[in-house]
Amino acid sequence: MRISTSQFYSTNTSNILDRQSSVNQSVMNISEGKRVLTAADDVVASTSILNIRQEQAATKQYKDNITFADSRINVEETTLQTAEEVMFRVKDLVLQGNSVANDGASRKAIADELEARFDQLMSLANTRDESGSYVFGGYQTDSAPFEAQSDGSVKYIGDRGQRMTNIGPGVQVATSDSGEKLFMTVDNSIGDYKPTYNLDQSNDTVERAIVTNVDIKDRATYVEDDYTIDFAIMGSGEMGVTVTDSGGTIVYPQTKYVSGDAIAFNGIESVLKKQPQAGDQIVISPQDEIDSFGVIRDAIDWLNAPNGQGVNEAERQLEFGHIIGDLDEVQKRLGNVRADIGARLQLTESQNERHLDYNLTIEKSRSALEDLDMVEAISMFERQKLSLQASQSAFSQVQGMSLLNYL
Amino acid sequence: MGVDLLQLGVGGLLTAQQQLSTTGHNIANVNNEGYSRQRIIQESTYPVKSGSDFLGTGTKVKQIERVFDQFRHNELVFNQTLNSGATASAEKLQRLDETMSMTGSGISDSLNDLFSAVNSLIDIPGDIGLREVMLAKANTVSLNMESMQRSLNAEFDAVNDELEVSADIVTVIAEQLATINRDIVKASANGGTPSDLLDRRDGLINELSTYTSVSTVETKDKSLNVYIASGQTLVTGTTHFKVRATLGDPEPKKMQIAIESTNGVQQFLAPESLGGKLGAVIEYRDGVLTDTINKVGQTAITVAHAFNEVQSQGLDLNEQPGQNLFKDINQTQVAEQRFMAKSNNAGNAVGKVEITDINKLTGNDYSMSYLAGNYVVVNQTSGESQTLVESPVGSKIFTSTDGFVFKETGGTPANGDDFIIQPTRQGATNLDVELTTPQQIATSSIVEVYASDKNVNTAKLEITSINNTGTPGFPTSGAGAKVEIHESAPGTFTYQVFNSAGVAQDVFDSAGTNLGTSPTYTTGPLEFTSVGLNFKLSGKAVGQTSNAPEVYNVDYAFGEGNNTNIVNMANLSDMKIADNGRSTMSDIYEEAITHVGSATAAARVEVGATQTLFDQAQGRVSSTSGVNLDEEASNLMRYQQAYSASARVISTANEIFQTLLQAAR
Repeated sequence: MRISTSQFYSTNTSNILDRQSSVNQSVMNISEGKRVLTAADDVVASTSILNIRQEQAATKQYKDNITFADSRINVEETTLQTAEEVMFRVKDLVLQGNSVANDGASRKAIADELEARFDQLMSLANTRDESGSYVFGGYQTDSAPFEAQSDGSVKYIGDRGQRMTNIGPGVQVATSDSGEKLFMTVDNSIGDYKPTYNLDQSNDTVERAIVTNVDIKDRATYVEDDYTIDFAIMGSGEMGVTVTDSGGTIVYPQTKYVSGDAIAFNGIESVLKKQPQAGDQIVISPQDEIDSFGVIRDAIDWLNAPNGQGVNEAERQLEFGHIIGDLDEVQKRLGNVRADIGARLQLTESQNERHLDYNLTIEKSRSALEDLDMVEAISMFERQKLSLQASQSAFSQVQGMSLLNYL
Repeated sequence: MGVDLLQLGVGGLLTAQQQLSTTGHNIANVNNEGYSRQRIIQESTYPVKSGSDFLGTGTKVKQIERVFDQFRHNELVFNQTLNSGATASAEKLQRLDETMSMTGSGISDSLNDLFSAVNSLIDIPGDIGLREVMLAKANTVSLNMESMQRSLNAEFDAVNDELEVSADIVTVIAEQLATINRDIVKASANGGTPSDLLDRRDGLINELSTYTSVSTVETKDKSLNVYIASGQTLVTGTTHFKVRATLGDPEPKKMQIAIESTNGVQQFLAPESLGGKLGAVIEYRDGVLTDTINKVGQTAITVAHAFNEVQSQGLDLNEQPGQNLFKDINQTQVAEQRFMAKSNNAGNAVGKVEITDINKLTGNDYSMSYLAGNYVVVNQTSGESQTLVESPVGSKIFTSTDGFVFKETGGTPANGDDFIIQPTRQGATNLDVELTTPQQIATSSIVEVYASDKNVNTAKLEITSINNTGTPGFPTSGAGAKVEIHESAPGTFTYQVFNSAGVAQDVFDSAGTNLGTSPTYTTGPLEFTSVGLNFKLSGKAVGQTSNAPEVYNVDYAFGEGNNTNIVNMANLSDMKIADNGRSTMSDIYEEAITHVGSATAAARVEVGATQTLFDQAQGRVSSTSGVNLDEEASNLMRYQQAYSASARVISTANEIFQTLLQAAR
């Protein structure tokens, strides 16, 4: 086929230009280290790459959140650990207080230390983190949640809020617990009612009946009220127990008292142990929760009161038993929350592991799609360079050939 | 009687001279792109009768032929149009692809940065410094979006500028064609071939074909009628028409190409029929570019609305209801920009378009017509049409199923009026941060649900959204509400909502019907509204008779340490809140990037194909009409020899004459 001169030049030139352009593209890819520079380079791969980048951003966010969460949880953990130790010491002191005989000075010393422990617990409950927020205030973190009252009790002015944070897709972990849950809503060691003992003053026996449990068993038939438990000698000569409500109506007719037997009435089941004296009366009022500070305050008051004899001693021993029971419950609550916290830390750790693994996997995918295989790229670059050189050389040799040279 | 040898020689000499000069002409024009080589066609002159023989009398030039193949040229013109169009498309798309992939990643990055700031607030909601960081990051998102919108708008304007310039060039070419037609007609009147004029005219046709598709018809007098696009006349004989780029209607920015006749009447050329550069850039502008701008706008609208919604569900650090973080997407001025009426509408309706559901937005443009008393809307990308429903009747608010409503704010429409609706086009220009102080970020939830520890079931009661904080009974500080549920009959549960004073409140179902103060349900999950809150109960509530129901306390929960609302804000990053629940906010933008990428990749392939076809067509034309220097060089030698030979004939004739003269002395 006939080739015109201009066709000859333009074909060869565009040939060389094409090769130059390929070489240029290779150079760009190599210097960026990427196979896919814009979406047009490989549309399917670029969709995946964009998605992977988003996933990586999300995973990094979760890992950051885990770091934040861990530090908050650890602050709680160390504070609660100290609080547990304080409560151990308190119980120790109270036990000591009971075994020391009427030595006013020693008991005062113990009472003083209890007072110091009381303050220590308050300051632990009002702990602040590094940003100045009160850790145990629920959502009210800007002011101290526990306020000492003039009558020696402690009032909680925070709320029940619990902060959560996202540590994985659909996975949340709590990063705080409210002071209400930790200190103010401890279970009453007896159950749902609190006993007040009105012992027969004329009787000096130290051992008296003690209420061990009062629980609401059947909510359907339960009637909330103050109930009075009376002990009297029955006609048969045995000790009988009667229960009346606040209006005076008998809800549990007089029955022989057996230590440890359940006394059930109005959906309530109560258990009393040991031996009562005739004329003893116990009034039970609804109270299913106690507060930790109140218990310590009770212990301090109990220590400050003088030891007694006879019926006074009986009353004091009954009180003592309940205080110890309540201290155990306070300890139990702290322990439960600490166990919870332990579980949370395990969760964040396992999520963190998961994120690290996931990130590794998708990073590999991204690299396979986006990154340039240097070896392959450089050898292709060499080939293209060679091809460019060849076409340039061929062209320069051929373009000089013309018939006009021979005229 | 013999033949005049001198005459014969001269004839041969003159012919050879012509041939040499034609060869010289070809050589001189070797690099003239539009040049068709010329060739002398010789023929012998009339013989002279001598007895019964015919004596030859020499040669003369019959004609100077222009070596040219009309069919090959037509093929070249056709492929030129395709190639120019494909190249123009690919060039524009390439640039857009680079912008989106490289600088465009700034938008995804700044969104991720914003979420990172939001997440840091989850840890310490009250920290002013972190709040300021979040506002700053929100501002960066807004700036990035606006700057992307500006670049894309500039692209749009650049296309329009190009249309204006190109239209002018086409008009100039048309004028030149008309003039050349006149010259060619004059020159061809006596049967000659004005080769160079013809070359010039063909060159003009070539140039024209890069702008639009061209077809030509040669008339008997050698004039060329030129038709463009789908057959509209551009040049007939010595008359030419003007080509103009005119403002679009109803969208002025959507410039169109029109042919203007001598009396000023304009005929619009449909973009699909234009072809060439003109057709390609219009298609690019109205296709991929518009789609990209719309998607960027859709992303901005989704981001703004989603964040604003979450803000409104919470309380800020000053215990105030959360205000809009970004400018309201339905501000009047913004809403009005989304609606345009055609200038020649018979009616005078004006209105605005408000977006009601970001999840249903399509990111497409719509054309709307008022037909037989109804507004009918057609999605310009999918072609789907729907009739808008006026709801409530008489309110002049017309609802669509694509997440927007049209509100007629004035005037009345006439039957046949046309309008344009662009819900997301300007979205990214309006993404301004409205909060001024860091305290205004609403990290705290307003209320929280606390299940009583005495509950025996595993059911979960949650608040899905705030309905109306002004409703009586809405939990306030120190005065919460209570939800109680118990099994009133086997399998049937009664649920009640009490205010802080213990008075049962009205309960409404999700449709708004008042169910009274102690409605029942049998199977969950249950959704209901009461005391201004929307509740959802999932799981199995048990409840032990009205004496001991399951109790949920709903307390006012504002606190500096309350991070519930900011957790909800953080969750926005991977919630599928767009495209009918298929896409997150960054997905929309990423889709735009890949859409451009695939269009670019396709355009590159197209260019490769059309370039090949064009090169082949060019090769064929060149093969016929192109000058080959070697060929011309050998011709030079040939004609030179002929010249020398003829000169020798003349000198021989002269010698004979001299001999004759000598003999007669």
